[in-house]
Amino acid sequence: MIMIQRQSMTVFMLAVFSIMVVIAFSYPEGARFMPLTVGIPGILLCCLQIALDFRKKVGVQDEEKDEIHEAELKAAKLVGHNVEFGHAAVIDAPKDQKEEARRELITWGYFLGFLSGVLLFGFWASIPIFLLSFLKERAGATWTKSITLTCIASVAFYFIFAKGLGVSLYTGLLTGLILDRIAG
Amino acid sequence: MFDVMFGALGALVTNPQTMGLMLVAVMIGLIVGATPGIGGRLSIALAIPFVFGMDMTQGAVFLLCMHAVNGTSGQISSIMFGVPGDGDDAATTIDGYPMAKKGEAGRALGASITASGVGGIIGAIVFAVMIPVLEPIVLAFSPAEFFLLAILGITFIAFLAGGDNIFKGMIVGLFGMMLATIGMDPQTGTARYAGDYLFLWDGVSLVTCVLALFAVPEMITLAVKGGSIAAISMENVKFSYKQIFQGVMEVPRHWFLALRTSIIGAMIGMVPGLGGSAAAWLCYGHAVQTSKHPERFGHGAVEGVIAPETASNAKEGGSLLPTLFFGIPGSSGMAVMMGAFLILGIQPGPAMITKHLDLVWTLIWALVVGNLIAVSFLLFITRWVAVLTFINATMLVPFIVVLVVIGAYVNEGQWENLLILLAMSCVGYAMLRANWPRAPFVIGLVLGRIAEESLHKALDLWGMAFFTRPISLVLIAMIIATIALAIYRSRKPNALDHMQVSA
Repeated sequence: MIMIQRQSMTVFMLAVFSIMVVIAFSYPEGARFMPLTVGIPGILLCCLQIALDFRKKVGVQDEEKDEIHEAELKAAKLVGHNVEFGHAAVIDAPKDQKEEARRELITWGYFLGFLSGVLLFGFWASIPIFLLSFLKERAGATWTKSITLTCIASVAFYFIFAKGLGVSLYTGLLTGLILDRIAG
Repeated sequence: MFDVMFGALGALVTNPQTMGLMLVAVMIGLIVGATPGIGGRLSIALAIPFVFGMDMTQGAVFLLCMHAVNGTSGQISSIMFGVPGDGDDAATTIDGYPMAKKGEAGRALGASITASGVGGIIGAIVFAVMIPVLEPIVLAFSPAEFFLLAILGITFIAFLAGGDNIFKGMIVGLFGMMLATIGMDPQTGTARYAGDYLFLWDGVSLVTCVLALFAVPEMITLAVKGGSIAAISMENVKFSYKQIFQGVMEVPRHWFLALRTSIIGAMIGMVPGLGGSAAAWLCYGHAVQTSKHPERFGHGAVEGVIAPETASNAKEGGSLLPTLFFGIPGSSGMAVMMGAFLILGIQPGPAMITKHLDLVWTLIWALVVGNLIAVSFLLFITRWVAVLTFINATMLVPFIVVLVVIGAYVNEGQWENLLILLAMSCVGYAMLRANWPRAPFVIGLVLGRIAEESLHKALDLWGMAFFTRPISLVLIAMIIATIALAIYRSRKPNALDHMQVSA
């Protein structure tokens, strides 16, 4: 599984470089010089990386680095005796890989939903809905906490960006149409 | 020189708006530093939307102060609870945590906060001292060298990726440079890879890419894996202001160690790619080696707290030097910072010495004043800042995501950037999951345009012979040496660790 993931990233990069290099040949000489100067070495490096990926034995997984453990070992070498750090408690850790994959999809769903909401209905309509739903459903906060935090944050964002910095945020593709329809 | 130096200080401290912004930046930097799950790079990326419309100097001072004080509060959890936030803090934990267990948490915190401040200030001084030394070198650079510097920058930052990731780092750096070619070609006016999409004619938005690569993947991971908090109750780690004051006084008592490790830290910061935690570990090793009683280390020796703290904060001043004068960020945090500087209109390179020396001095003074403010604040509010270690970071995710999306939009005010945000977030998350380095991408994207401009100028001036210019040859040799060292390091993964330990 990890092997596929490792190579797929390199293959993706190889595809990007290859497509961009091919397209670059259609540009005038001056315009294609830089894409080719960058793209061709990029393709060669990707090929080299793919070869390196293959050299690693199939099934050998990239060990997940435990930075704290590594730091303990490094510290022990320096001071000449065992060193033990404290530990952090992980809140809401996934039970297994299946659970992790499910959460990954849900979190991406929230992100995608928020972006779609912004594109369709604008920031001011999407922010409170996204905050409330994420806090309540994903972060597991109580209704009171979720509503309070959503209200405070939405008002704060409005005052900081719209009033304080004078930024006019996107109102969405459909908001104007809906408001026009309501106004008759 | 002195006119510019003190003029910058005067302009900085007499401008209430700038001082106010510095106060805010320091407070945010301290809070972010102590909060689990939000790193220094992410905080700069998130702050970018807020500096839009700000004066160039004020924006740069704001971001730099925020970044520079991150580490000052970062070690609170490592000392009080033995839970290091990152590699820099881990070295402080070796003696800081045993001190806390012995009931000397206040003394350890006082020493580490003061040492951080002293390190930050000495790092800024080392940077200042290096300006006249570097001036002739920087001015000797022509467009040919700046093209090669861009390549060297990517190689260095790829080296930062470590282990067998050097080629991945270089691929990612070139990927960034490739995306930098999107948009109107400066030579021929051809709209490269943009088609009829007008929003791409100006190129890919740097802010959107930085946010997509550094903020979104981290937030999704945090939401998936859950947040970590200190496992020990605050009740177990009590301390008084008297203890903190005792800790503060430990730094002048060990002034020579603090001075040495600050200078070493600043020097390490100047070497791009050496890695953020190298300074802290090297200086911890130095403190052990030069101590008359090395057996005390690991059991709560205050020198073991002072050395890594001075070094890790001093390196910020050092890493600003290659970032500003050569356009090569000294660390991944500085890579994001450089992107932010470009957005503010600050173009790294020789012009920083010839035209914007006042800005350089303002940034140096900002480091000094920012560190002083941070230390003064933190000594009094440590116990409250420590509470942040108990925040469940998952709760922060939606607020940060909102800031990210707003940031991507306000950059250019174009909704199409939200689509780029989504696409690049997918790439960034895939990189994170596949353990690919992401910092080289920013360097590639930032340096891509500069490199292209320099390359065309160099070709116009010297043709292909620009590769044989003396400085060009030195830079080419450095690129080859970096790659060779990286290959050696990938074959012997523990080689650098061994070097650090033996040092």
